[in-house]
Amino acid sequence: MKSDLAGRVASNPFLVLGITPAFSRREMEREGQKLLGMLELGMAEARSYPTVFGPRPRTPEMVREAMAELRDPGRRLAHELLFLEGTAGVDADRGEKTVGWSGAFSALGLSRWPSR
Amino acid sequence: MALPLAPLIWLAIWLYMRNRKGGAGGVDLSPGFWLFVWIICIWNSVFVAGLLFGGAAVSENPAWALPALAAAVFCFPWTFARWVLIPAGWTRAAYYVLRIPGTTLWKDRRGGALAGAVWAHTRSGRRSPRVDEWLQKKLAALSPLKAGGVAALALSRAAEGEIDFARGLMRLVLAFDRNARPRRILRVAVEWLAAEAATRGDWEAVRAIGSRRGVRTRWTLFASLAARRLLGESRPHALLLRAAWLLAPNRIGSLGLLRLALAGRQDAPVQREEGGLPATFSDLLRLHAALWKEGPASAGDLDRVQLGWSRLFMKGVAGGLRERAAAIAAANAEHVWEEARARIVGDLASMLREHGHSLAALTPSGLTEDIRARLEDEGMEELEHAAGALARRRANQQVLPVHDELVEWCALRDLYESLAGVASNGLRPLAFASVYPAASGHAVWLFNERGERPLGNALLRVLLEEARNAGDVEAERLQAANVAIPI
Repeated sequence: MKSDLAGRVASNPFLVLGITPAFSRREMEREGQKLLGMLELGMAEARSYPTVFGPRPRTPEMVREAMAELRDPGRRLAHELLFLEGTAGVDADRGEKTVGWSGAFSALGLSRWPSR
Repeated sequence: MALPLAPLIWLAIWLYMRNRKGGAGGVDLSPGFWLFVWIICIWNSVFVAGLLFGGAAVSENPAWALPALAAAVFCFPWTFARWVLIPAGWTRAAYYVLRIPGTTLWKDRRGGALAGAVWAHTRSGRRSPRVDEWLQKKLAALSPLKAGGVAALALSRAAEGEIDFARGLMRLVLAFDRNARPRRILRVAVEWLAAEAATRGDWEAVRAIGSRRGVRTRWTLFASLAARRLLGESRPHALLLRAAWLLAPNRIGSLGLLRLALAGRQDAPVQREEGGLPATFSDLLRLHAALWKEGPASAGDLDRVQLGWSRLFMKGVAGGLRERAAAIAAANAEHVWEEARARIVGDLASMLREHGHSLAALTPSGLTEDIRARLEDEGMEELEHAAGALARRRANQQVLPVHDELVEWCALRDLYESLAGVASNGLRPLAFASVYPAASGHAVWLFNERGERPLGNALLRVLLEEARNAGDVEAERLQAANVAIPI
């Protein structure tokens, strides 16, 4: 992902901690500790978190960093603004899109390598 | 008619051997002489092939057909390779048949043969590491690099999925001097570029390629007519489109494009009205995120999103944000709002460059001036940095393999064009001035010191065209003199 903004949305601390902006600081700390414990035990469901771009890997460092970010009210406000929950529906409202002709290369007998 | 063939071949061999020895005994022969010898050989072979086919027909003995077929392959290596060996995926056979001296690839036999071989390998149905290695060795040994070699490299990279780099290389094929660019290779490059643009839905580019005189093929002409219909500008009549399709090769494969074009305009006009746009930050962010998630965003998509953001930011800090700031004891609602605005502007500018859309495609709004400023600041800095790195490498005589030189050149050209293409017209001369000294010095270095005269000349041609576009009279004069130097 090239976009800095997209990167921020995908690594939003709320998503990393699996919470929403409605969670209080105490709840946030509790969820963070719970996730750290699950990651320490190697539980599969803690190793990734959902984003609008699909699941992303989650590590203990990311969880600690997310908790630190949300402890600061100023930074928390910025993350709340860029919080985008859910795994689907980001393209629901998209307008018209340019569609190409996928058969162009094969029409000319040009192709890619078949996968090994 | 066949009688002069033997003495002519002996004369050619004698001259070649004498020439190879060099020194005073060498005879300076122009390539035209060898072409003359070859044409006589070909037509003698055609005559012999005709006799053999005739003999086979009269005697009803099919054994006669074999030498006749061999003579036909010898006479028309490109036709045989293009329609038999390449579709069958016989890589080495395609290479060696195309190495048979012929008029088709006369100007770059080794590179042209390799382009055919790479093409055949991609059609083979399975990728063999041994053949891969063999091809890569042949590609690396090509020197000096001419249009055929660049096309071979482009086909190889395209097959690997490096489409952007392949596009840059195919565009470079068009810039080669006609003495280093076989006509067939030019056709392959032009058709590849049109097909690639059609795949992306860049109908403007398809139309432009098909409208270029001198490099138009029957297929690119059909594709450009289809593109004009899809763009909705001066729609060519359906009958004309059908006629162009009938005249073009690969009719069955191209049926999809014909149907698409006949169905009508694909990309609806950009919706400028503001109605129907999400009104909250979160909804707009969701719409914005869709542009990252899906493939290349159209200018219409970007415009819709930027209009939505512009309307939202015009209203000032959202009341909800202030309330939220108060609730969590954050004192910086304005700062957070401005920071978010700057990020949105930066992201829209990046997407414009990345997807090659012009700033003019966006409806003027409260954000477009900031997007323009961002494009200029970031783009110029990046361009100056890349040009500086190129100049430093040349000054330090850090020689890269010629394929890596091409990677660097294409990256610099992409960077330049992404900036010159999307920002204001006034920026093009500025961008050209910042990249020109390094790019020109590099092309001259390749020409003079690296022995890559055809490639250096092609790069200088690119600079000449761009000097004209940027209105740099001095650079245009200098490059016109440079490209006139024989390769």
